[in-house]
Amino acid sequence: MGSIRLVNLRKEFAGGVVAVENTNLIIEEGEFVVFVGPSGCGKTTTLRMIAGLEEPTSGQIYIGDRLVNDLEPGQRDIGMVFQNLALFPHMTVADNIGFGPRMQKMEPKERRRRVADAARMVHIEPLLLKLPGQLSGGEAQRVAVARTLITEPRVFLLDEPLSNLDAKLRKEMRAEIDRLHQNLKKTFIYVTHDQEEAMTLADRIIVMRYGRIEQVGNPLDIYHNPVNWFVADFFGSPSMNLLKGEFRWELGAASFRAGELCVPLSGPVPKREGAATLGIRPEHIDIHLERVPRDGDLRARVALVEPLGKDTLLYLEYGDSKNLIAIVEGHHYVQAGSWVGYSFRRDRIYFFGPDERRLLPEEAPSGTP
Amino acid sequence: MNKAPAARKGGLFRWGALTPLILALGFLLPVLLLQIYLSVHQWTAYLGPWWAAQFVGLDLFREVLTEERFLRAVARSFIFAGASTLLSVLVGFGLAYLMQDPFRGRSFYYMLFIIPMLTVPVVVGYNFQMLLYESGPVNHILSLLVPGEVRISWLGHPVAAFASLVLIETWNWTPFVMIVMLAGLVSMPKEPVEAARVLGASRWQIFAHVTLPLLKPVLVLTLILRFLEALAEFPKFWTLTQGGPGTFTETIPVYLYLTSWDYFNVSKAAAMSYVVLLFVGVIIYVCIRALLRQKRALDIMFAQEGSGR
Amino acid sequence: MTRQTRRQLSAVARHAVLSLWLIVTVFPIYWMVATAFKLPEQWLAWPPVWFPSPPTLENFAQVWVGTSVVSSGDQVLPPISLEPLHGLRNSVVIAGTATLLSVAFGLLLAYGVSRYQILSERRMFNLLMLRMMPPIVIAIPLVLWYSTLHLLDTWVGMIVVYTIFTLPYSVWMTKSFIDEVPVELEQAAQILGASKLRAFAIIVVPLIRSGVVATCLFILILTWSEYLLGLVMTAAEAQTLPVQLSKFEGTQEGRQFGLQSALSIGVTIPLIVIGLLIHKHLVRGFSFGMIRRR
Repeated sequence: MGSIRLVNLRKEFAGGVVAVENTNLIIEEGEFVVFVGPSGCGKTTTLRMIAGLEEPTSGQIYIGDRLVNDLEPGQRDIGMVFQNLALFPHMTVADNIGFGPRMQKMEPKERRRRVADAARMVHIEPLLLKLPGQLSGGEAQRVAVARTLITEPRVFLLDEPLSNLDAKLRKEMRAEIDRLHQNLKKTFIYVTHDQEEAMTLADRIIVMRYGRIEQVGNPLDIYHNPVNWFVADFFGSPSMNLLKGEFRWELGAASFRAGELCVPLSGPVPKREGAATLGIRPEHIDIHLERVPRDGDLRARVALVEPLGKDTLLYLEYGDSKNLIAIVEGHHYVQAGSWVGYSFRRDRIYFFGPDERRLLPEEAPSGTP
Repeated sequence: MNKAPAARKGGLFRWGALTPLILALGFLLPVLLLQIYLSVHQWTAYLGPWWAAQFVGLDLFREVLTEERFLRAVARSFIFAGASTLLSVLVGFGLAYLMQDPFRGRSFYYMLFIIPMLTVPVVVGYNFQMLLYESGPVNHILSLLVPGEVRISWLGHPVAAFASLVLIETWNWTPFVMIVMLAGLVSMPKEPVEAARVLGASRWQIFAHVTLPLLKPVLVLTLILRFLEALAEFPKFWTLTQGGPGTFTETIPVYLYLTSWDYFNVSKAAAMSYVVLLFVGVIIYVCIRALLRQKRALDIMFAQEGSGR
Repeated sequence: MTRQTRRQLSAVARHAVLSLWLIVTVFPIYWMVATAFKLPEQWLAWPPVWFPSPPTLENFAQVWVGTSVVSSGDQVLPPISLEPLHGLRNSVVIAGTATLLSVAFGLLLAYGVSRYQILSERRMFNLLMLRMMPPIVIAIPLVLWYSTLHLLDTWVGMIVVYTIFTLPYSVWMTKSFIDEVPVELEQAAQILGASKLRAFAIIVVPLIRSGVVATCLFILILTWSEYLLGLVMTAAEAQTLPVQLSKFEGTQEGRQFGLQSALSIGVTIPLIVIGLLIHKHLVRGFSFGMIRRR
């Protein structure tokens, strides 16, 4: 019904630019799916192909069981919220919302009733007679949403709807969208470059880069089991610490060296040498201020302290102007310039090979002793 | 909009910048006064200098306003201007609409389409005189399409002459409309159109409900500019028909010219000029109001959405 | 029908319609050019000669250089003493100077209006509409006034008139370009030590270059092809090409289409060439405040 299926979808623009590589994907009905990735990764292009605003170079798109490649956007039973809202500037809010029904030649009385309903759903009844130019960002947002709600589509497409809003509004509207999805139980396809939005809203996240899907999974899965360096780095704020270094095998013991840092690893298998990248999230670095340094503890000079109120960021030097960022709860009155002891949470160390791919347990020694 | 806060030093600059305008108006002022003088004094050029002419009050004005020939000229001007403006807007807008999205060969078409606008109206006049000649190519083409020989004297037949002039004017100025409307179409935001597509509007509905309303200011401007220019059109009329056959293509500029330089009735021409000035002035006043209204609407529409109150 | 098919069909339809108008547009020009190369017996022939064979340069020689003599049938036509080069020179001087002056003053005024609001919006519209008055309406007193000032049939006289009459257009057009340049740029330059004038010259002017070019062309078109005022206010000295063309016609017995075309081409070619060279700049600037650029 409201499921989406992409089969071998590909989009190439004039000039040889491949926006979307051969993509296959199934989105279940009622899912909230978020396409996330940096600018130019193909997420918006994919969304627009689903909407029918771009024609695929090859491949098929199914909405429900219908092949929609040859259908115009208006025939696909979809609703879309654009990044810059795309409200009709010369029409009142009421006319904007009622546009869809008006095009379907709905009876005026019925249309007015539906407009009122839609307005109520997003709490904008007092604004019905205003023009878009007279609305604030949040209000205009809601009008755009109401305009899609009224047509009762099976699938909702949202193209970075919150990027033009300020931070506080963004959080409010995010919650609204979430609530909407809970109530409507329809399929939502959402595009953003903000990983936080993806994490909070999605049932499933689709990470894209350079036109390819890097990873698909639910938020926690993506966060804790990134399939490569790029996905690991993209999610999490502050982002994962990534240390370039190499595996060493000395005297029967494995370790990882990066700059002045040396992390002892468990052995003896698998034995591995060579360049790699170690990844450790800021929240998985334990700072030991009170206790006596233990075996296995690392020491570093604190380069910078950034108090955030609830948490504090500590920048730990581990090499030539190379810093590890650790995040600790509360404020610990650490001075920049002083030395602290710290350690990595052993089961939270990731390794990435030279090809950016995350190394599986059988490929590299783990951090767990 | 980009308005600098009025600088204190701006005072000196203000007057400096306004100087050319003030000079221009100062230069023209005597001209207007002279016009008034002439229109209330009966001056016949060969009877003496103009400052010795006889005062006749509003006689000339009365004569002009009741003269059938003059009123017909007014009507003809309006019909000519209206018809040619309408045609050139229809064609020009159509062309612009077809060319708004880039496609292969668009530049080629565009370059050739603007040529008529670059052609001097006098040249256009004589050129079409050649084309519409009895043994000219237009008749030849028609002869190929229609059984029998076509030897219409386009400029000798009253209605045909008038229609020809309307079409020639259209030919001459459609590129202008095309350029302006194209500029408008190209700078129109695309997202509302896409939103309308997703909401199920057909191509025609999108045009009527989204494109056209957004283009209204440009359209109004183009209509006004073209109409007023067409009212004042002289070279083509003068080179092709001089108002003939008879007086069938005699528009205001033609009749005015004849009155001054053929009949040497300068005073009457002056009075006529004033009458024309007055009612064109009224039209222009209405147009200014319309344009200002459009501008205000534009300002409201494009006030930054979501900029807060 | 697939979307692709639909798209291809509409592309074909589009080309068909555009080509139709293309023929309508280009045909008169083609005819003029072709006729200029025709021998006299082909000028009025029926059926009309579509392609001059053999092509001749006699018409051009006659009209522009005044050397050769053109014969029509067995009658030798007298050489035409027209001195179109005289008219050409006048046109270049008058139209060129008027254009430069008009655009320069227009820029100055536009800068004042845009940055200092020396004229209200309403006044600006008034100014534009003033220009919309048919010039013929003040032609008579203008001639009298000029004869008093001894400016009739002079370069200066024509330049002044043309400058004044095109000023509203040049102000409007250049203003729309200046408006597009954020005033912050000049302010930044001023903070860094540039004077207002310098800031304008180094920052704003380069940015509005294409707009100024388009304005220049538009004003040039107006002044070069102006006919009425030229007709009534010039005689032998300062006559411009369009007026000369009509005088040429007036003195002819019968239709000298070949010669007329040869002359016409010369009159209008400069504009066409310049226009085509800068056609890319034309789309901007013709908005008079009615188009908001994104």
